[in-house]
Amino acid sequence: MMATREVTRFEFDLLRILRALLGVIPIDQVRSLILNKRTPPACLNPNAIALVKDTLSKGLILHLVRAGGWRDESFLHNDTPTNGRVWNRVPLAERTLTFSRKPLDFLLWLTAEHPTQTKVEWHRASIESTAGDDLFFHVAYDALRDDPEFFDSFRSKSPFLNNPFSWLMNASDFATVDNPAPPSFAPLLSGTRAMMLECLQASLTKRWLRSEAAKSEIADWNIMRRRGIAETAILTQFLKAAETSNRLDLAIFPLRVLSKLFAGRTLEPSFWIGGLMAEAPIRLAERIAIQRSALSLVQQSDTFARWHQLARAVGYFDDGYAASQFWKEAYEALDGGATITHARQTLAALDPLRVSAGGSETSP
Amino acid sequence: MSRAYRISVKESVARDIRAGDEICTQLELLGILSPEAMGQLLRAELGQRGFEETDDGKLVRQQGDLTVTVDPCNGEVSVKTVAEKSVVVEGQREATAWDDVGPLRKTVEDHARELLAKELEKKIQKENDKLQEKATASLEQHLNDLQPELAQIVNKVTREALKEKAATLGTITEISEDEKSGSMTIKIEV
Repeated sequence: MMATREVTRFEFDLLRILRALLGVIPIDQVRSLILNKRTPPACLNPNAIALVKDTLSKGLILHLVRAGGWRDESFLHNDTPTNGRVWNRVPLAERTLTFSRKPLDFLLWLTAEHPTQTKVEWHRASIESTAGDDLFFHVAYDALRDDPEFFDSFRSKSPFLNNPFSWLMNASDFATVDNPAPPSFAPLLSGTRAMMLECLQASLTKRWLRSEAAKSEIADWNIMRRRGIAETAILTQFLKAAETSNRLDLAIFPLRVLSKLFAGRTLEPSFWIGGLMAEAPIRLAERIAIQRSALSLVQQSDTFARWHQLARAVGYFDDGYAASQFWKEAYEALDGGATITHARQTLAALDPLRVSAGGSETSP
Repeated sequence: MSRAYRISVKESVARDIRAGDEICTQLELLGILSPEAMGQLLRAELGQRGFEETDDGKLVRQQGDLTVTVDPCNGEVSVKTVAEKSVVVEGQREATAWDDVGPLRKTVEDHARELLAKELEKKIQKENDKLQEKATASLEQHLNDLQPELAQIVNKVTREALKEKAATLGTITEISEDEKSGSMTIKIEV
C-alpha cells in the first residue's frame, strides 16, 4: 500500500488540476482553481513532484489504452504486420513515456496564474518536446477546449498550436486564418509517437466522423471556406508524411471515416454543404471552390485509390510486399473500391458542367 | 463674435470597372484510342462547332461576353464571362467652419473631401458588385446551354473513336446509330 504523502495547499490544487486535465475528474470541478490567481511556491516538495510524475505517467497510459490501445489490432512494425494489443505488439522501449520540464511548468503556471488574463508565459521554447509532452499537451488541450473561455486563450499558445496530435484531432479549431500552417506530422510516424497514433486511430475516426456530420450545420460560407482550407492542409500533409514514412497503416483512419460515411451509397453534397445560407459569395467560381473544400476529406479518396494501385503493383519478391499486402487487406476490409467510387460520384455532383463518356447528368 | 460658414465640396469620379467569373471542368473521354488520337478527334469536333485554335494549341470560342476554352490534350474546359463598364459617380458634401479663410477652413474642407472620397469609393464598389452579379448570372445562364453541348461533343468523339477502333480490328460491315438513346452498334468482319 502506498504511504500517505503530505503536500501543500498549492500542490494539492495543482494535482487536482492535473487529474482533471487527464480526465480523472471533470474539468468543471477545477475551473475555479484554474481561474484563481495565487503566488506559486519557490519550489515544489519531492512528494508533490513524485505524485505529479505518477499521475502523469499512469494517466496518459490509461488514456492511450482507453483510446484504442486495448484493441487487438494489426499495425506495421519494421514493414511487417504485427498483431495484438499495444503492449503486445510494441516493444517496451517504444512505449515508455518520458517528459521534459514543460508539463510541470505548465501546471505551475495554470495553478498560479489566471490563464486568460495573465501576461506571464510558461512556455520555454529552448526545451525540445518529448513524445510524452506532446501527448500531455494534446490531452490537456482536449480537456480545456470545451470551455469557450479557455478555448480562445489556449488555442493560440505555442505548445497547442504546434501540437500535431491536436491538429489531427481537432482540425476545425485551427481553421481561424486563411493560410493555416499545420506543424510537421513526420514525428508522429515513428517511435513512441507512432505507438500513440496507433492507439488514437479509433478516436480519430470518431472525431472526423462527427466533424463531417456536423458540417451541414455550418451556415456561414466564410467559416466553411476556412474549415475546408485547414482540413485540406492537415490531411494532405499528413497523408504525404505517412506515404514518405511508409506508414500507410497509420493513415487508415480517413479511409475508415469515408467507408462509414458512404456505407455502400452515394451521398449528396448537401450532406456537407446543405446548411450554407444566404450571403454567399457573388462569384460562382468562389462558391464552387468553397463547396469543394467543404468535402476536403472526400477529396482525399484519390490518394487512397493511388495507394491501392501502388500496393497492387508490388510483387512477391519486391521490397515492401508485406506492407502492400497489409494495405490491400485493410482497403478491401473497408470496401475501399466501392467507397472511392461513391466518393468520386459525390465530388462529380459538385461540378456544374460534369460530362463523362457515359453521358451527361443534371447539375446539382 | 464667430460666424458659421457652410463649406460645400463636390467630387466626381470616373472609372472603368471590370468583373468576371470562371469555372473549370474536365471532359472525361474514354481511352479508346491513344491520347493523341482522342485529342485529334476532339479538336476536329470542336472545330466544327466554331472553336478556333490558339497559338498554345487550345481551342477557344467567343460568344459575346462568354469565352469557352478547351485544351484537347487533357480535356480541360474553362468557361469564362467578363463584363466591363465605365461608371461616373458624383457626390456632394457639406461641412461647417467658423472661419471662411485660413487653416481651419482648409482642415474642414480636406476632411469633408476625404469623407466624400470614401463615399464615392463605396458607390463604385456597389457598381462593381452589380457588375459582378451580372457576370455571374450570365455565366450561370450559359452553363445551362453549354452542358448539353459538351455532352454531345463527348458523345460524338467517343462514337468516332469507336468507329476508328473497330476499323483497326476488322472490316466494318454495318453501323447503326440511335440518336435518341445514344447507342451505336458496329458489326465487323474479322
